[in-house]
Amino acid sequence: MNMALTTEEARTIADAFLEAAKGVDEYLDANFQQISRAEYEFLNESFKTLLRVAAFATTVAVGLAIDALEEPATKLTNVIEQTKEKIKELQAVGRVIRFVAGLADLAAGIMAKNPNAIVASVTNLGNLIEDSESDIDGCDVSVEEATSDEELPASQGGVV
Amino acid sequence: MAQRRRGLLAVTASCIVMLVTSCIDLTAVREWSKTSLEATQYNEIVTTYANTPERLKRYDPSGSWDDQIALRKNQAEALRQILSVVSDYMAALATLSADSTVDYHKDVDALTTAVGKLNAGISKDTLGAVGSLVKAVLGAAARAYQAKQVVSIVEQANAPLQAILRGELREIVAQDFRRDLMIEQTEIGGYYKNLLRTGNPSAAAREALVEWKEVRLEQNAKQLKAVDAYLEVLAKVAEGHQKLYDNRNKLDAKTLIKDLFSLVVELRKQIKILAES
Repeated sequence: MNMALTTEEARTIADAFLEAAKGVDEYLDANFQQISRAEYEFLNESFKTLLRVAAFATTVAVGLAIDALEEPATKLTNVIEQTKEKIKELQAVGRVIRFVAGLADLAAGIMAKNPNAIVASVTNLGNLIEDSESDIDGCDVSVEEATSDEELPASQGGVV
Repeated sequence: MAQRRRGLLAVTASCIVMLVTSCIDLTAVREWSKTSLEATQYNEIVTTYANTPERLKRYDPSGSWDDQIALRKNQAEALRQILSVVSDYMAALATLSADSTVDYHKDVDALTTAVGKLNAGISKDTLGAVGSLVKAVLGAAARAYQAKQVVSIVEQANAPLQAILRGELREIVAQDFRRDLMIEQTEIGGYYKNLLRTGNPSAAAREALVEWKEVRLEQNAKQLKAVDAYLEVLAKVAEGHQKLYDNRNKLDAKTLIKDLFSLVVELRKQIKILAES
């Protein structure tokens, strides 16, 4: 049988002890003049104990809730890493070099005063930005001759 | 014939400029993510929670608070890390939607200078116009790429972000942090009432105790206000991101822009409360 406390159970306990402490406080407010010193001391000490337990149960609840947050936080961290990579890619020197190569075509079109060539060059530049993610390797070097998956040699595992 | 070609060139240039100006405007996305980043960084409420046992020790020195103090110190560290993940994400989104993420100006200037040196008979005016046109086209293409990436990360991040902001993080702030401050509030009341009842204070001491009680309760009330403000921050950030997700394929839709700017105003209000608390 699993006796582990859930976050909700810890919260219920914390709420119940806080309410109980408030109840004792209200009783003391209403009956301070009527009760003995010993009774007062006992109730005042109980009041403090109830608050201690409420604080302790709150700590337990927060600990359990933090555990539950671990998974989504890890997923979000992965997205952040991917985003940082994309920002780096966007700023990569290799990409700019490719644009400059594309710009040479555009310049040639303009020099020839050929509107069709200009439009083609501009479209090409736009496509370069859109597609270059898949054409640049991890070192920002253009992939000249990509090897298809089928042509790749089989992996060889184990220690030789 | 030459005049006709020049006319055609001018029409082509106009079409390209129209293409540029019709690109997605990410200003609202950037402003909302920047404000969300700023708002989530006001995490003083975590420190308040971590320090509660030390403050409670003041009113109840006989209790064994040291374990609680150590435990909460570790919890506060974990919570700050989770909140920094949310802040980091907002920072990444702000960077990706910024105008200045990529600047091709220098490369284009270098190229037009190089072409000018070729002595190809192109006038300086034409070369300058070409340079401006190319900068505008590259800028537009870069913004289109950025918008595509924004869509991609919003798609991936929405589920975990909502799980954090509307899930346990919200419950920790709404239930546990609030209860913690209510425990302290009750403790403050009981402590000062006990001193007044059993300490047999002079009239002056009584006045001083009443005043101290008020000071402590005011601090507590401010901290409770900060909890409410932070809850609003979490809700507004979650709401904004959900709207981004729902409109990810029309990031410059007028209603989305309006909604995001309204959320920025709401977030600014909560930031002011958090800064004052």
